[in-house]
Amino acid sequence: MSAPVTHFDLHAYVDEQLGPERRAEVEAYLTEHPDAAVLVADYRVQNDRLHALFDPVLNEPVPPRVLAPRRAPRGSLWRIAAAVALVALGALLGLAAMEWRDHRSYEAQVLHPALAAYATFVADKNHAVEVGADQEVAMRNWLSKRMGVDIAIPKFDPQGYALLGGRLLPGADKPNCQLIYQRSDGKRIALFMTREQGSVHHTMTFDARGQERIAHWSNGTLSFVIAGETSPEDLHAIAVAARVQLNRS
Amino acid sequence: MPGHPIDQHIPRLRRYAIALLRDRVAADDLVQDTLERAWSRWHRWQPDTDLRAWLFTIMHNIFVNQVHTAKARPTMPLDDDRDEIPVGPTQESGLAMRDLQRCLAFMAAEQRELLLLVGLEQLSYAQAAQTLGIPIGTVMSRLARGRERLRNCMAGGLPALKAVGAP
Repeated sequence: MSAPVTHFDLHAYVDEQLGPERRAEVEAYLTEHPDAAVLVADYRVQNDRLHALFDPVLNEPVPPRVLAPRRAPRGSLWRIAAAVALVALGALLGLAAMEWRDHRSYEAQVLHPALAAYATFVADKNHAVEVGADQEVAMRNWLSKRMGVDIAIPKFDPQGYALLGGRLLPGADKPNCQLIYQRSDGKRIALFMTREQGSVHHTMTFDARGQERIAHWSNGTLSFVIAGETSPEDLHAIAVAARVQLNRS
Repeated sequence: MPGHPIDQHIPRLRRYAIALLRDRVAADDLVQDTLERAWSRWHRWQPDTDLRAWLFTIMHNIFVNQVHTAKARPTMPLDDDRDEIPVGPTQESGLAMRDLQRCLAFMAAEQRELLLLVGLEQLSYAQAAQTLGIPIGTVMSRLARGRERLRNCMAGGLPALKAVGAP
């Protein structure tokens, strides 16, 4: 025979938490016990009214603010991802700032002095250079000594430009120098060398500043700027020749 | 992240919270806190367990903490007469619905919780025990007491309720 029906069975019956067998037993019990049947009916009404009262909530749209945490999940993985993203962003900003600063200093320490020297001396018919090409070896030693680094004197005769000479220029830390080359028709180009920003490897870049075309790069020791009123092709040929000779030195 | 397993339970979490707190703003706060915590602990949910019970457990814990910290503040005033709680199609039984709301307000929070988890949310007794962190025997006895109390209250067993209709 089965266990006697208890008060708890009545609740479980109302809440539909009984197996089919036990449910049948409780139903049989209720037919014989009207008091229990009244209780069960009352409990059912309670549940029904709860549903009647609160089920409409189920059909309401969920207010957006309730979903706020879902939109910005704060799971640990997300937190880590957010932290990584922040660090990456910071690094990017830092790199951008460094690049911007390097760019500024490269402009200020390399390109501006080079263009100033070009503008000052290249057009000067008689005093473009301090030391002439006839003293090339002495000039090379002198420039190397003053600049504290071995200075090579590249040749652009195959490109049509012969060495005219060179001069020392004031620099921020060490002096800079400028070599000038001249074509048979009198057209000149200048090669500017400085130790500023030299340790930064700049790939060869071609640019135009006013009338002048320039090519500039660094080889890990020195920064070079070639400037001249030449065709792009001529400048390119000269710059490539310069790089080959200078990087070998 | 549409279609997350938690999503489908949000309407029922709201239903339960509104029934429990009888205040929509507080209820949505509770749901929001629950979702936030569920998200932050999502990695702890074990896929082979009942997600709904897990969510209700989180909500219960937050609710208990709130009740605990706000003990000095009466959260269910006896003269509570808020009409913003949804009332279903209750033309004929509007008064009974109002009685139910009032009677729920009179109940102890722990009884109301259980009554709603079982009667409204239809959690099994085992799930309710797990959610509330109590033995299943306690679930049964507390449920029985709560229903009896609600029955008496609905039958006009509380003087305060009788006074409502009196001039």
